[in-house]
Amino acid sequence: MTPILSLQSVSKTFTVGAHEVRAVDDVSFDVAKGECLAVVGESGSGKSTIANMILGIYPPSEGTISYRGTVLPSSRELSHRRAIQLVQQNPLSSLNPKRTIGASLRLALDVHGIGERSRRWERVGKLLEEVGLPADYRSRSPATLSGGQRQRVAIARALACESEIVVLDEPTSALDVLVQARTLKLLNELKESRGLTYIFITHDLSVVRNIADRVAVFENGKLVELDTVETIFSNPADPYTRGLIGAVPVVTREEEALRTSLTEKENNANA
Amino acid sequence: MTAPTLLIRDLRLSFKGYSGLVEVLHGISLHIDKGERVALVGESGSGKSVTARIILGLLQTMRTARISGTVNFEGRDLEAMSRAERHRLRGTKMSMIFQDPTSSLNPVYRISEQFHEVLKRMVPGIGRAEADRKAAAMLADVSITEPERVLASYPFQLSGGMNQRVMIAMALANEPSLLIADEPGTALDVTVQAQTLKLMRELVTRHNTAVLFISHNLGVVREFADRIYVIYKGRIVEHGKATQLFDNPRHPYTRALMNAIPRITGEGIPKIQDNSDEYLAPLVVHEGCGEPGEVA
Ligand SMILES: Nc1ncnc2c1ncn2[C@@H]1O[C@H](COP(=O)(O)OP(=O)(O)OP(=O)(O)O)[C@@H](O)[C@H]1O
Ligand SMILES: Nc1ncnc2c1ncn2[C@@H]1O[C@H](COP(=O)(O)OP(=O)(O)OP(=O)(O)O)[C@@H](O)[C@H]1O
Ligand SMILES: [Mg+2]
Ligand SMILES: [Mg+2]
Repeated sequence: MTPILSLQSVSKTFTVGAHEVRAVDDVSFDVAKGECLAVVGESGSGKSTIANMILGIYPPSEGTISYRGTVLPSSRELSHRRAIQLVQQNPLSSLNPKRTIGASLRLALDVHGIGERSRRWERVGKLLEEVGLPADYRSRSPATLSGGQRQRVAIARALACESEIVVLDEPTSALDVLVQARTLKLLNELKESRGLTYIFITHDLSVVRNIADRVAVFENGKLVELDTVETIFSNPADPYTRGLIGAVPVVTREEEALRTSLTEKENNANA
Repeated sequence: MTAPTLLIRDLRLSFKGYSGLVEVLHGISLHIDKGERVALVGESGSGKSVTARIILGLLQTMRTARISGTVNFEGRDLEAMSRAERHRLRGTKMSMIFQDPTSSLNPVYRISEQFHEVLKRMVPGIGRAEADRKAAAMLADVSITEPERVLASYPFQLSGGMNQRVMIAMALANEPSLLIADEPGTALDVTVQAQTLKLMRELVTRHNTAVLFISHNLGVVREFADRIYVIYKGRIVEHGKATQLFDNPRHPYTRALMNAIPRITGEGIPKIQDNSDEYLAPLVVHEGCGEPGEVA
């Protein structure tokens, strides 16, 4: 079966003054329809850059990105823009400060002609309720929301478009555990009911463990490991992956035990 | 006995909106002694960031905000200070790492220029080259591997975690006596987060800095804080030393929080009850943790 999304030898180089940054370095991977692919890796390893290229915010310096077997052009058609949605890492910068929350969500529905015009305002209220916010937040401006409330608005907007692929860049990092659990549950339900595909960028391995089907590990712009979530956690091949699992702050003694056994394994590997 | 670095008594806040007043803080009391690391944890929208903004004096200027209660900094009532005096405190003796990078990083200036401004608040005559040297050293401390490139960049040219570390370095640059850190590590992966928290801990220990650490990540709080206040819907519901709280969470809301954490042992997304009347149960104070002047 053709993968819904495919990256072939994708690289991205930025120039900052006299400095060159190879943010993404020869990366290839496929994403199957209906799967949740977690993308993890240290800060600055190129995760958001990959997300931005998938969205067509800027093109790769080298390589191609295909959607259902067709190479995506650097300027995207509206249908592609609808099919692939992004929840940005910093939700404040992705919401227009001059628009109310309701107007921003409404705009997304208008642009893509989703639902009947007369029902859209109501639909906006429903979307907010789905992410655990009261419908009357429609009339509030982004500046009057807390960090986690804004993050949920950004998620609601991405889901509004009824897209096929949703790229989520640290979508739950500002959420407390209760809201996080509810949001993950909602994402899981939508994945089942609508057959959504997720590319889920996060540094939170406990979230990865509980939502992802496969995990891609990045280091320094390179893809160093890609495997099922079970294999990554029970038998991580890459030392960086092992380090990540070993450093998760935990709250129970069982989890602490898991960390210790990993470190021992690592010690054996190094011996 | 010296006064606590921060003492908040019965702090109340409401916002005026279309539909009348909305009460956000219902009388919060908390304190932080010199050199102490205190965490404020609670759900999204519970009032953590607004508390921080009031301490810094940022909400007082807002027309829609109604505030009452007292905030003392090193024994002095902040309300009694002149605006100029409060302004001088910010960024020098009191500094903050904001939850959202756009509140503290200006998109149109390079990091180098912004760092220079921060350092000038303490040493007005400091030159750009000297500031760059200092900044580069501080960035290296927060595990930034290419400080020169980062200094030459605009915020949009840096990753989320790099921007967060820049903010952390800036907030620590002037060795404040009170550091307010609002979700300081959310965009950092665990290895960098652990390093950054370790650095923060070293610096605050060395300079005897008091820290108000705002976070929803209980794992991080467990590793960083001496004492914890749990806040729910604008009220403190439980207060205790970190060990007391983690070994024996007593308030129903704190217990729910602990149960909702996804485990790396992988048991699926936890099942939780979002809202419960139980969460409104009265404040639980652990042994030996009363507010100064009150009996525990
Ligand atoms: N527009 C840009 N111009 C110049 N450099 C950039 C730009 N965008 C990203 N970079 C650089 O590319 C590298 C990768 O950045 P990216 O944002 O993809 O990292 P990330 O993996 O998302 O990290 P984090 O977990 O911290 O968000 C970083 O060194 C960053 O400074
Ligand atoms: N300027 C404002 N006008 C009206 N309401 C506001 C304003 N600022 C904040 N609020 C509301 O006050 C409540 C507390 O907000 P605050 O930012 O303190 O939450 P928080 O505890 O920091 O949450 P998070 O973990 O999501 O960041 C929220 O319900 C928010 O919507
Ligand atoms: Mg990123
Ligand atoms: Mg907040």
